[in-house]
Amino acid sequence: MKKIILLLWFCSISIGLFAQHHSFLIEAESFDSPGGWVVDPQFVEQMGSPYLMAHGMGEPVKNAFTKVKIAQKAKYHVWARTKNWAPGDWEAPGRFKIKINGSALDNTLGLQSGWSWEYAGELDIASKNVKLELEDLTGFNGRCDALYFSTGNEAPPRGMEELTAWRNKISNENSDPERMLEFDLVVVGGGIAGCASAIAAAEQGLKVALIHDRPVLGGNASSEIRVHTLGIYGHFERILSMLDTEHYPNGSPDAKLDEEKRHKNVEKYKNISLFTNWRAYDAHTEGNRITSVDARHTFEGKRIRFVAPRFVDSTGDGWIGYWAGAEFMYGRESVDTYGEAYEEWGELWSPEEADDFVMGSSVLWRTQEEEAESVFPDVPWAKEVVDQHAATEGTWKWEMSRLDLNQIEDAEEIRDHMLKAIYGSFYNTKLKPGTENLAFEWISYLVGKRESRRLVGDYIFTFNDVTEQRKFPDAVVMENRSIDVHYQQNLLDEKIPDFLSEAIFYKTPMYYIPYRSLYSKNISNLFMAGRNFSCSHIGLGGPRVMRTTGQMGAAVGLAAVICEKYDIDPNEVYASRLPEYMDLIESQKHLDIAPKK
Amino acid sequence: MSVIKTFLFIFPFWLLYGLQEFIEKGPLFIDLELVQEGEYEPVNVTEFQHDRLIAPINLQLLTHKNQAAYYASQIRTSVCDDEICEIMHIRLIWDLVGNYIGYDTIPGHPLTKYDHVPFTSADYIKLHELLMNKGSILKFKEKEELIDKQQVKASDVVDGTTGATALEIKEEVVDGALYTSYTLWHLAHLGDLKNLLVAHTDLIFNEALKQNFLHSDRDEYELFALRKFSKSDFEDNINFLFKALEKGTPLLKKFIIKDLPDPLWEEEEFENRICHMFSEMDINTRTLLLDKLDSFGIISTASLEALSQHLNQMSKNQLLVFLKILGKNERDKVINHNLQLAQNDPTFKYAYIIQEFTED
Repeated sequence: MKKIILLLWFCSISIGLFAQHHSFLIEAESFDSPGGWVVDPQFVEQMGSPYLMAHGMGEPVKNAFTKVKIAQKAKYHVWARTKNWAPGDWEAPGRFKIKINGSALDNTLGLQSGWSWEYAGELDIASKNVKLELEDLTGFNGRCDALYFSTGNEAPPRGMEELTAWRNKISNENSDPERMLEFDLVVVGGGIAGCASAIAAAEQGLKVALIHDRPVLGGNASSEIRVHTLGIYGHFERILSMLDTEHYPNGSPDAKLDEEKRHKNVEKYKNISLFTNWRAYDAHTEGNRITSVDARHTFEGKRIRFVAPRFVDSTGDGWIGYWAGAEFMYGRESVDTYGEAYEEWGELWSPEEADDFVMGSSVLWRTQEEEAESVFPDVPWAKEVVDQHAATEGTWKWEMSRLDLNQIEDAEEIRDHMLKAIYGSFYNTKLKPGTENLAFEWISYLVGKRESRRLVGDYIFTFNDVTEQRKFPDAVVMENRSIDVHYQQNLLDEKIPDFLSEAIFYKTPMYYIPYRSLYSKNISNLFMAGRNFSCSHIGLGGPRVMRTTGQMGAAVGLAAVICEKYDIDPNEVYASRLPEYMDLIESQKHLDIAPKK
Repeated sequence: MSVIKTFLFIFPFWLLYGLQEFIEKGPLFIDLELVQEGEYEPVNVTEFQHDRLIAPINLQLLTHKNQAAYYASQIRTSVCDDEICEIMHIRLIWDLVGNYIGYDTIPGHPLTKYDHVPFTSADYIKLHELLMNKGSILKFKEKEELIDKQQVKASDVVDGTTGATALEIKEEVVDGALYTSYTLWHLAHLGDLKNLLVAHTDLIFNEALKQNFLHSDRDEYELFALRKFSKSDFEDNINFLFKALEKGTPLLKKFIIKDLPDPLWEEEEFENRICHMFSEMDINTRTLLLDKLDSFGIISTASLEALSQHLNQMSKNQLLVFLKILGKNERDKVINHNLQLAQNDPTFKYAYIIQEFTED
C-alpha cells in the first residue's frame, strides 16, 4: 500500500495576498517498488521516518519507483527530504536525482548536511498519472525520506519538532490507529530473546503477538547483521536450538540458513501472530500499567494498536519501557556504584566516574574474490576516518563507541561512521597489488548494537553476582561464558582508528541471573529480555550474547504463562508463585529436543 | 653514563657478539632503557603462586643505585599439550607497573620447539613480539581451541602439532612452538601478578621515582605518577601536564582534565592555554574538556575565542555543548565572526546547527 498524503487545498500568504496551493507528500519507503534501494527504519525516533537508502556498496542501485495519481495538473515545485551523510570538500557520496515520467529534475540531491528538504526543481505535470523514480548516482548510501510536491514555493519545516507536528497533522497521526488487536502477550522485538519469549508463551497456550521492525527474525543473528550466537542453553536447549546459529565466522552468509530454520520454527506456532516489518512507536499507560502498544508498518504506513495484559520489551533499546516511563539506565556506572572493579584493567573496565562510554556497535562486512576485475572508486570522504587502514572484512573488533556518541540517539552517525571505515579500508586494500578481483560480497547497513538502554527491574544484575557466584532462588538464566567488556583501542593509542575495539575477559565458572531482573520495577506489567534487561554496564558484559538473552526470553515467556493463569503481575510470580514457576522452568529441560539436521 | 636501548633495536648487536655473550651482558630482550655501567641489584619482593605455575616463583625488583628499574622472575614451568608436559626455564621481565617488557633465557636451557628443535634467532624475536602484544588472540583462547582438530599430526613431544595450529592463531605464535607461546603469553600477562607488582611500586614510590616516571616517556609510568599527584604536584609540574596533553595517551589526558584542581582552571591563562590545544586533542579528550568547561558555566572570553576557532572540528554533540556554554557567556566580535565563518563553510557538516543557534 502506498502512503501518499494529499494535502488539501491550503492557504498561504504570499506577497500579501492569499494564494491557494496544491501540495502532496509521498513517503519514499512506501514506493511501489524500492528497486535496489533498501527501507531503513532504524532511526525513526531521531529523524522522523523510515527512509529509502541506496546501499549499493559503490555500485549505483536500480531505480526505486512509484505511480501516483495527482488531483491537479499544474506546475509543481519538488523537494526531497534527504541528507549528505559525509559532507566535506569533495563530491557528496550519496547523490541521486528524481525522475518524473522519465525526465530528471534539474537538481542533484543528497548535497546538504543534516536531514533537510532539498529543492529538486520544478516541473509542469500535464498528466494525472505520474511515475516517480529515484535514480541513484553513486551506490554510496544516498537516502530519501519523502518527496514533497507543491504548486507553492515553500518547503516543509526542517526542525524535527515542527516537522513532526506538520507530518502528524497532515497524516492524521494524532488519531488512534485504525486497527486494534488483542493478545494474551505482546512481545516487541524479534531478536533471539523476543522469539524465545514468544515460543515459550505460545507453547503453554498463550495467544502471542510478535512485533518486529525488520522483514526477518533474529536481530543481531539475522542474515542482515550476521553475528553468531554465543552462550549456553541453560534450561532452554529445545527452544533455543530452534532459533540459534552455528558457530560460523561473524558475517558469514550461512546466517541465512539459520534464519530459514528460525522462521520455520516460529511460524509453526499457530498462536503466534507474527508482525514483521512493523515498528512499535508508542506505549500507552494507565497508572503504572501499559494498556497498549502502537506500531506502524515500516513501508506501508498502516498502524495497529496492540492490547494485552502484559508486554515483553525485547527491543534492545528498551523503547517500550522508555515510552511507558519505566526507570532505566544508560552508560557506565562508576566503579564504586556497585563495586565492580577489575583491578588490573582499571578505567578501561569500569571508570572512576560514571560516563557514557558504553560498548559500541558493529557493522559487519565481507569481501570475495571475483572472476573478473572489480574496480572500486576513490572515496575521499572516508579518508578522515581510516587514514591508511586497510582491511578485507569486518570482525567483532569493528566497533564504534565514543564518549560524545549515544548508541541510540546518534545511531545513524555511528552507522555512517562505520560505512566510511568500511569503504575507506577497502579502498586502501584495493591499492595493493593482487587485489584486482576483490569486491564486496556484503555490507550490513544495520547497526549491530551491544549496549544501550537497560530497564531497571526489582534486581540489578552486576559483576558481583558473577564473582560471588550468587545463587538465587529465582535463578532462571545460567551462563559460564566470560564476562567480556570492550573498550576502544584508541584510548591507549590515538593513532589506532577509532572504530576498533578490544575485549577484556573475566573468566568465570557458572553464574546465574535472577528472574527479578527480567521485569520492570515500576511498570507493573512489563517484562524485559535481551540486552535491555536489568543489569549494570559490567553486568551486561557476559550475558549480552544471544543464547543467554534467549534464555531470558524463554524465562519471561513462561512467567507470562503464570501471570495469565492467576491474573497476576510479573513481580507476584516471584512473591507468590515462585515454586510453580521454577518447576515450569525446570520441566523445560526434560522435554525432547529435536535432532539437528 | 652511557645508555643502550635494547629490545629489537639491539638485534644486530647480539648477532655481532653471539647469543651467549649477549645474555651475559644483559637480558635477551627488554623494552626499557638500561644503564650499562654498574650492576643491577636484585631485591626479593615476594613469592607468587598461581594456577598456571607448577611452583611458586620468586619475584625480584632490579635496582640501580637504589632506584627501582624493573621486576623479573626466573620461572620453571610446564608446557603441556593434551597428553605430554615438558619443563621450560625462562626469566620473564616486567616494568614497574607490571607490564611484560622482556625475557631472558637461562644458561643451559635454550628454548626448544617441535621435536626438540632449538629456537632460531628469528624465533626468539618472534616470541618477544608476541609476548609484547597485549591484545594477542591467545588471550581469548582456551588451550583446546589452539588446534584444528581436523588436522592433528601426531608427535611424541609438546608443540608437535604445529601443522594443525588453528589458522587464526598461526600468525601470532612461534612456528612450531604453539604451546610454549601460549603458556608464556598467559604467564607474562597474569592479572594477579600485575596487581602485585603495581602494589609494590606503590609501596616504594617516592619523589625520585615520581620524577623518573614523569620523564620516562612511558605512558603508563606517566599515568601512574599523575594519579599520585597532590594538589601542589599539579602546580609544580605544569610543563609535564602540557606535554602530556600534547603527546600523552587519551587515557592520560582524561585524568589530567579530570584531576586538575579547580584553582588551576580558575587561572585564565592556564584555562586559555588548554583551550588553545583543542585541535591537537583526540576527540574524546575534546569532549571531556567541553564537558568540564560546561560544568564551570562562566568561561573566559579568550578561552571561548580559542575554542571558536575550531568549530568545524567539533562533532555534533561537542558543538551543541559548546553552543550551550556560549549561551551562558558573553560573545565578542571574534566569537561571532568565527560562528559566521563556520556557518558559511559549505564543507562543515554541522553548519546548520550554528545557523539554528544564531537564529534563535
